Amino acid sequence: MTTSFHHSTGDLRLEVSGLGVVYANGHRALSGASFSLTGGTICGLVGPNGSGKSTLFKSMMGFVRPSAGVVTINGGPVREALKAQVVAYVPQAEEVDWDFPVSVWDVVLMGRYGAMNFLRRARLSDRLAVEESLRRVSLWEFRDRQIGELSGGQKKRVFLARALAQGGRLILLDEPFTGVDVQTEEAIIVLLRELRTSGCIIVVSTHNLGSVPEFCDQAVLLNKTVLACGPTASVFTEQNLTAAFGGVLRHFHFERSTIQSHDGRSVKIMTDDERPLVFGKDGHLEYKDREGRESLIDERRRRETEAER
Amino acid sequence: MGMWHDLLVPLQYDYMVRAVVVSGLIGVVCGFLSAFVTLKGWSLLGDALSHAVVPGVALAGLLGWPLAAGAFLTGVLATGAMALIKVKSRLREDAVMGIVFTTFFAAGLLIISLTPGGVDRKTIIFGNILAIADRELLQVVVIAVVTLVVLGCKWRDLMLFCFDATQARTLGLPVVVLHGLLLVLMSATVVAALQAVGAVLVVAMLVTPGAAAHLLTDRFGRMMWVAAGLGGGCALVGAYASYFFDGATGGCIVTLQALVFGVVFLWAPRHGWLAERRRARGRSGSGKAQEVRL
Amino acid sequence: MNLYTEPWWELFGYEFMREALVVGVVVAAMAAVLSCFLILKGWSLMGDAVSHAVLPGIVLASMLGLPLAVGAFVAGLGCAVASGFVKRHSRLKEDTVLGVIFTGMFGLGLVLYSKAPTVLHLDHILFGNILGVSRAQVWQTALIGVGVLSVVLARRRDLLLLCFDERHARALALPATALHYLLLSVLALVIVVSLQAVGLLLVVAMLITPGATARLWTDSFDWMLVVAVVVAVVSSVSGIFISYYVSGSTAACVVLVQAAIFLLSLMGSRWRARRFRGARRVP
Ligand SMILES: Nc1ncnc2c1ncn2[C@@H]1O[C@H](COP(=O)(O)OP(=O)(O)OP(=O)(O)O)[C@@H](O)[C@H]1O
Ligand SMILES: [Mg+2]
Repeated sequence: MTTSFHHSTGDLRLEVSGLGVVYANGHRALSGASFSLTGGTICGLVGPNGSGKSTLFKSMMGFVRPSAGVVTINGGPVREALKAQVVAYVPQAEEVDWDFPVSVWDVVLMGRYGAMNFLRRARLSDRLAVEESLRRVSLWEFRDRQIGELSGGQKKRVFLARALAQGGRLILLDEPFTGVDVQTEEAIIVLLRELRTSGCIIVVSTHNLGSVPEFCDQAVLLNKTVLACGPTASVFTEQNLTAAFGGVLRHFHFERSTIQSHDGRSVKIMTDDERPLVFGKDGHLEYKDREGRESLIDERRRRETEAER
Repeated sequence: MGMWHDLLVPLQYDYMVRAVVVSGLIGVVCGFLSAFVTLKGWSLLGDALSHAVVPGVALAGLLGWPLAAGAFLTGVLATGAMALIKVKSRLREDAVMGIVFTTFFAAGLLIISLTPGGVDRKTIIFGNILAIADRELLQVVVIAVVTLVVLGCKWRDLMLFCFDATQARTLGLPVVVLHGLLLVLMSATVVAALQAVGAVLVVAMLVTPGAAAHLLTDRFGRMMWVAAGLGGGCALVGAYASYFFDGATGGCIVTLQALVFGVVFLWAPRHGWLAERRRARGRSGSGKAQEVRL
Repeated sequence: MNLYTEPWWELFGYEFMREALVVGVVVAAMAAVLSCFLILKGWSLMGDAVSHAVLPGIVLASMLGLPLAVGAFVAGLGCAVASGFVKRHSRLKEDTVLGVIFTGMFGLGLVLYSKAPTVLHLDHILFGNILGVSRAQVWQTALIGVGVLSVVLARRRDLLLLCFDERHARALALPATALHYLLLSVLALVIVVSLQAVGLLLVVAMLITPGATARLWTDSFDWMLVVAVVVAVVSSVSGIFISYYVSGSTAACVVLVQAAIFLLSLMGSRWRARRFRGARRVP
């Protein structure tokens, strides 16, 4: 499927430099955070609870005022990018009134308001965009439901659809996978890959360390500041993760004595969540417990080796 | 025959006809706005604003200004005071509103009690649409028309603002402007409604129709129309009926609104109490499961 | 006009002034104690609603020849119970439901009043008439005041827990529902008694401002109670005197003095906070 309604094309660039955030109560949530991303990438944002992931998103949106540093999108300030409908954002927890009298269709249509005329009357293109977004998150059948009458995972997908309908090219997703079943997670990942192909930047925060190497090209390790950033393979080392999580992670050591090992390998599993990240002798092993995933992993492997060449 | 004749008596009086029509207009405007007020959770703010305009009205009456100007001034002052105190203290929002609006209201009552020749206390507290002066009438009509036009153009933006302000910001909409716009519309309609039902009961015009409409539909656009219809209808009938109740226009309108709300609460097809009970007993297979609310 | 220039201590010579002061002090103390709970529970609007909702009760009681206080109490409690019921069985927010019900009841009160062939003074119900209380009313106020204060103060720990965290109170197997209704009944009772002093339109100020002011001064609940009572009593007494001299509405004067104390406390707490932070910055 093509992303026909995504606005301008051309190169996209997100730059965060020296970002510091101090909350009103004096709590320093971020300091000196810097990284940059260019179009056509999925970036995983990883760090323990309270490490400032949501704060980073909010300051990228201009919702909290940084005490130091700047965020620029395509070289300009965030506010202009918002006006130009470049940025779409799905917060960690939607704090809306679930009894509000709007249907799924209405909510997703609201994603188009920025692009509509003064009276916000929906044109055909808007309706098509809404339909396509709803189909992509497989909620088309639910379009007339009142939003309170959906399950938690379906609600999350509605807001993802709204972000898609908006057609932003910088897409910020704060923990889109919590409370979402495996099938939906896979569907979302496929979706994100398509968006990447069309040149979007997607920043995803997650606690599923295991899935990051699977679908993220780049990763940012965060704990009050950026500890490491770059291609996932180079960021996701045992050393970096230990530094970022500082003993928060569960460690399981399976030595020869504890498991029957036929090939003499020792396996170490680190996890912050239900999906463990598995380390072998030389870096992380991708987690292949589910069928149908291997192709995704192989594809990424192939791309990596091509890039190396 | 005799009863019908009695019922038609009010229409023989020009002032009654005028009051009924104006009340209906105010009811429609307040009804439209009540959809936003109830969903945004601003009921208490409506109550606060309607009390906070009292000193302004009293002063304007003394100085010979248009009432709307004075009301608007103190309404804005009170809103500012609430925002300031909320930022500067750790008190809960409802407490801050309570303090500010009672203070303003008390100031208004003191001014009225100190100036016996000024505005009549009853007029402000209970409204006096039956004896509305031409100048006030003009103000009401202007407020109503402007409010309707603005809502007609911008209701979708305001709906998004009420539903999800974060998303409105993400889309680059001017959230602060929308917030201010809704506040201004609310203050303006408060001033208009003050004439019909008085300061104490204004909040009913801004809440009850929206609350009833919310129980009747799941679509915002429809809710707005239903609320406007209910608000306008109750105001028309209530103002008319007040002829038989010693001119207690505000009391009649608001009592009628509450009765309609009661009927809707009991018999609304999907969200009413009886429907809920029916579902809970499992006679109807469809519909959403009963939720336990705390 | 020499009536208004005599020194304030001579006012104690007047019987009506002494009675007004007694009623003012008792009412202020009761309302202040209750306001500390309401502030913590977020029940400011509930106070507003119940105080308006007593009107039809009063009018009906006077039509039926019952004691007005009984009618008022039943109506006030009825408003709270009905709101709770509608809230539980509909999708509406609590403040919306309260707004609908209390305005409906107040409106009904006005309509009934227009048909009531009684000598009821609407003005006295709405704005209070503290300078015209009777001996019997003084006794009634004092008795109810002592009763309410002792019950609330004796159960203050339980009530505090209820206000702070109702679920936790339930988890501790406290009779949360009973406490809830105890608080509501006390609220209705205090409002009924205060009508005489400040009238139903301004009662809510007595039920919010002292507690809020005390909250600015201290974090300890017991001290909050003390500060709230002091603030309320001081404003009540000075408000009564001021209203006498300017010959303006008594209720309005009491509420405005309270507001002034609140404002001063707010500025004081900002000043203390700033000084404290300044001190911290210096190593
Ligand atoms: N509004 C706020 N005021 C004050 N401090 C805040 C605020 N929001 C967050 N914080 C603090 O800032 C720090 C970073 O919070 P943030 O929400 O960014 O963490 P996070 O990485 O998203 O965590 P999680 O994985 O739990 O979502 C935390 O220590 C938090 O307590
Ligand atoms: Mg977060």
